[in-house]
Amino acid sequence: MKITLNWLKDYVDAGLPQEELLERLSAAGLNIEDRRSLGDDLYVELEVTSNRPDCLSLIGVAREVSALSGKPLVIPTVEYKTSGVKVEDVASVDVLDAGLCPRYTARVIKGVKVGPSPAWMRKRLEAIGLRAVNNIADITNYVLMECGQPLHAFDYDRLNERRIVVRRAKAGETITAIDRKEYELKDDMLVIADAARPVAVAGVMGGLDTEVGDSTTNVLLESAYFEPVSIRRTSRALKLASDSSFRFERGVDWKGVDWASRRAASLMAEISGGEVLESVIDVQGEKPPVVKTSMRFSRLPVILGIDVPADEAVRILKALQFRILSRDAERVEVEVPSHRHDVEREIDLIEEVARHFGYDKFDVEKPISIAVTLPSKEDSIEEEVREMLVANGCNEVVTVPFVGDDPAGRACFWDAEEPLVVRNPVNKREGLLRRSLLPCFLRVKRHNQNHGVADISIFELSRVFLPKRGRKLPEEKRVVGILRDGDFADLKGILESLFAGLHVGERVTYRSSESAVFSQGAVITCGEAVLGQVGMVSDRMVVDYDLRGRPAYAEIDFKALVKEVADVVRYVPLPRFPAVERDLSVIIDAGVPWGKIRECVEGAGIETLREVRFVDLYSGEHLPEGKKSIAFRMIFRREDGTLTGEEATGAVETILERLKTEFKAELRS
Amino acid sequence: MKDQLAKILAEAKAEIGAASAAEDLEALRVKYLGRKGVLRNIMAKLSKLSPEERPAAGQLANRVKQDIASLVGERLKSLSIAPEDREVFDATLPGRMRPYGTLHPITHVTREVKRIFHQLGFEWVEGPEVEDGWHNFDALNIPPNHPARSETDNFYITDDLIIRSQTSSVQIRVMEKQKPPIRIIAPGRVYRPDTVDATHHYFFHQVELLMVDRGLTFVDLKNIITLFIRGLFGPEVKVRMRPSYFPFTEPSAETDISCVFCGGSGCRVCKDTGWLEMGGSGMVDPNVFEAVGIDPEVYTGLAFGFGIDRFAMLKYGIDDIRLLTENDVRFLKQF
Ligand SMILES: [Zn+2]
Repeated sequence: MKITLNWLKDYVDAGLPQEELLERLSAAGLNIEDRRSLGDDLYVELEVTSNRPDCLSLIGVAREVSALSGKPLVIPTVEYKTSGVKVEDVASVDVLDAGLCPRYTARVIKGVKVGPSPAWMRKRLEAIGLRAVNNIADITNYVLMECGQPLHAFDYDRLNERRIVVRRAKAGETITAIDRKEYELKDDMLVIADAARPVAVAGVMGGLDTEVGDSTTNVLLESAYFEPVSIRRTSRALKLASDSSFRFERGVDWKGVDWASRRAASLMAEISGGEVLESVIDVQGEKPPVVKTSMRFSRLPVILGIDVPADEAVRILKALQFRILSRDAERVEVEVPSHRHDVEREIDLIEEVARHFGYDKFDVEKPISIAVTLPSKEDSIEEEVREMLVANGCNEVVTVPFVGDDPAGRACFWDAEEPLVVRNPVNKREGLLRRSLLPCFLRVKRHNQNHGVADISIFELSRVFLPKRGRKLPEEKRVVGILRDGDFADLKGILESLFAGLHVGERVTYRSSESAVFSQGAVITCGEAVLGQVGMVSDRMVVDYDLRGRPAYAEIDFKALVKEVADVVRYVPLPRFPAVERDLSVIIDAGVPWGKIRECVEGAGIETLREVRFVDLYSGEHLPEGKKSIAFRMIFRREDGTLTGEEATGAVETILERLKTEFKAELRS
Repeated sequence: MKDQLAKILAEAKAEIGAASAAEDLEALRVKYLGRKGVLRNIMAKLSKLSPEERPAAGQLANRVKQDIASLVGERLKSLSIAPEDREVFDATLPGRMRPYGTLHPITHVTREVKRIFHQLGFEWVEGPEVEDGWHNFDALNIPPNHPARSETDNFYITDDLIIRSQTSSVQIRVMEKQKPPIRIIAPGRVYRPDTVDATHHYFFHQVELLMVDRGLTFVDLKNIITLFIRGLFGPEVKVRMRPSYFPFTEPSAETDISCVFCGGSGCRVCKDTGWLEMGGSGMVDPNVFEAVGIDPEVYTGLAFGFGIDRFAMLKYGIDDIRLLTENDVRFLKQF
C-alpha cells in the first residue's frame, strides 16, 4: 500500500515523530518497503500481507495508527444535497448471480462537468503512483485509495435502457476494456452488462464504450461486493489485474460499500458540479455473517510465553474496533469488525494482542532444554562419501532437476515409469523431472566447457524422481552422480577408492552391459545388490550437448550403498605368519576378461591363497593374433604356520593347470 | 692395536660418509667387514697379544666392527631417502600435488546449520519434493481456492501433484507419524515459479524447524531463532521479529537480523535499512494440529523456514544467486 504521511494525517494525527511512526507501523506488521521524500511530505510503501486487505487503504492504515497511538480516527463526513428525482426512477439493477455478487449499489449523478481534477487531488494521486485522468475517474480512484472500496463510474447515457444486469458472461462474448484491449469472456466470469452487452468485467476493469469521457454529463456510480475467488479466477484467466481486482480478490468491507459510494457522490457534486439523485439502488443477497469469538486470558501466556495483563489485551482489541460483547475474569467475547475477514478464532485474537503489545516484548532470555541425538548411519555415510569424493578431486555441484525431453533428459538407470512432466515449467524446453543426474551434469559440463574450463570432475548427492505404477508419489531415489573428463579407468578408480573407503570394495563387481546411455558401460553390484552403473557417455549425448570430448559418468544408488556398509567395523587379528608372493604371467584369448581369470584363480581350491592382484596387461607385438598377456600376483599364507616355498610352487602349478584347462592359457616365458 | 683400531674406524667413517651409492657402500662393507676384510685381519692378530691385553682389545675390535656396520647401515638408509640426482635442493619447485575437490557452498552452510541443531538435540529429517495437495496445502491450512495454491506460485504436475513450494510439508509428514515431543530440522530443495535474476530463482533451499511439546511459547521461538542466528553469524548479531502472515502459523513473524556487512549502520546489501530479512516463523496454527490429530489445547508448537541460499550468499558475499546452480568450476573451487 502506497501512502503519503500528509494524506494519512487527514484521518489520524498520531502525534509521533516521523521515524517513530514508521517504526511502530513496521512493528505492528506493516513493514516499510520503500520511502521517498516529497519535499514537506513523505511517500511510504507499506508491505501488506495477503490476510489484511483492510490495510489496503489510507483509512485502513490510519485505523492501525490510531490503535497503536491511542489517537482518534477521523472519518470524513459525507454530506451532499440531492435532487428530488429518485435513482430508482431513472435506472435499474438486476443481479442474476447473487452468489458471485452479494451486494450491488448504484447511484446516479447528473450534470457533471468532466475536466481535470483539482490540483490537491492530482498531487495526492500522482504521489502514490496513479495517473490523473479526469475528475470523475480520479474521484473513484481517490476514494478507492482512501477507504479500499473499488468504485466504477459508467457514462449513464451510454447504458442501453439505463439498465445494469449483473450476470455471468455468455460463451463467445467479448469486451474491449478501458486499456483498449479486447478480452474474450468465459461463462464462469462475472460481468456487469446493460440491456444489451457487457460493459465491465466485474471487479476487474470497465469497458471502453461506457467509460466516462469529456462528453459525459451523467454518471452511474457502482459500488459493490464481489465474491473474491471468482474475481481472482477471472483476473488470472484474462491476465488482467487492477487496483480494484487486487482488493476484491482479497475481500472488501461489506459495510463500507455504501459509505464509499456516498463519499464519491459527494466529491462529484463538489468537484464536478453534479447533482446527486436521491436514494440508492442497493441489491443485497446473503450478508456475510457477523463473526463473534472469544479469548481466554489464560491462553495468552500459554501461546506467547509472557504475561499480557487482561486489561491491556482488552484495550488493544477495543482500539482495533473489536466490539466487546462481554468480559469476565476468564475471558472476553468480541464481535469482529466487518473489515477484518482474517479474524474468527481465539488464536486470531491472541495474534492481534501480540501484534499490538509488541513483538519486542518477547525478548526474554530462556534456556532451551537439551536433548541428545546421534546422526543416523545414512547421515554419517553421506558426509563420508562427500569427503572421499572431494579427496579424489571432485567438485560438488547443486543442479536443478528440470530437464529437457531429449535422450539424456530421459536417461534412467532405475526401474521407473515415464518421467513426470511439469505443467507450468519456467523454461518450456525443460519440463521433465529428471530420472538421472546425467542430463544435469551434461549441462554443467557444457557450461564449463563454454567458459574455458576444459576438464572437470563433479559430483552430487541428490534425488531422481522415479514414477512407479500404482503409487501416487514418485520414488525419490537419492543417488550419487559423478562425471569426469577422463577414461573409464579414471572414473572406475574413483569408485574403487570410494568403495574401499567404505570397506565394501572387496565385494563390488563390474559387469559390462549395453545401454543407450553409454558407449561402454558396466553394471556395478555389491553381493546381490545392484549399486548402479558406470560408463563413457554415448555419441548421441556428446553431440546433443555439443561436448568436446567424451566424459565418463557413474550413478550409484545411495541407500543401496549404505545398506552394504557394515554398521560396526569388527577388528580382524593381524596375520601371525609371513606371506609368500608369486607372480604369474599367462598368454590367453584377448576376449577373456580379467574378472573371469581372477574368478578362475580364486576358484582353484587353494586354501592358502589370500589375494589375487592384477599387475599388467599386454597385447600386440610378440604375441599371437587375438591373444593377450596378463600378469598377476598371488599372495599365499597359512594361518597355522609358515608357508614353505614348495607349497607355494605347488599351488601356482595347480592354478596354472586350471587356467590351461579353462581358457587354454599358456605360461608366458 | 688400540691406535690401529681407532685409525681404521676414522678411515671407515670418512669413506662411508663419502659414499654416494649403494654399490660403493657394499664394497666398503666387504673391505672392512668381509671375510678377507680389514677387521678380520686385525682380529687374526689378537692371538699374538698377551692374555691380559686380549679381552680389552677383543672388545674394542668388536665395537669397531659394530660401529662400522651401523655406519654402513645408516648411510644406506640416508642414501635411499635422498634422491641422488638432486644435486641442488630447490624447495620452491612444485610438488606432485594430488587433485583436490571442494564442497558446494550450500553444503557448507547446511552443515553448519546441522551442527548447531545437533547440539540442541534436533533430529534431521527429509521429506518428498513431489508432494500431494494434502501435505503441501490442505493440512497446512491452505484450503482449496486459497491464493497460495495458484499456478503462478507453484509448479504443478497434476491438480493433486505439486513440486513442493516450501519445506513446511515435512512438518505434516513428521506429525502424522510421530507423537510429541517433536524436535526436528528438515533441510530441502523447494520450487516456486519466478523469473530468474541476480536475487531470484525458482529453485532454492530451505531449512525448516519444528518443535512440538507442552509449554512451548513464542518466547521459545524467539530464543531458538536467536541462538541459531548467533551460532551462524556470531554473537554480536541482533535479531528482530515483526508480525507477518503464513497460513500454517499463528502468531506469525518475519525475522530480520542486523546487517552482517555494515553492522546495522546501513549499506547497499541491506538497502540502507540496517536489517536483513531472514525468513518466516511462528507458532503452529491450531488448524494444522487438528489436521494431524494433535490436541492444540495440550500441545503448542513452533516452526520456522529460512532460506539456505540467502545464508550462503551473506556468508560468502555472493552477489548473484544464479552462481549457486550454474556450477562453474572456477566458482566451486573457491569454497
Ligand atoms: Zn548493511
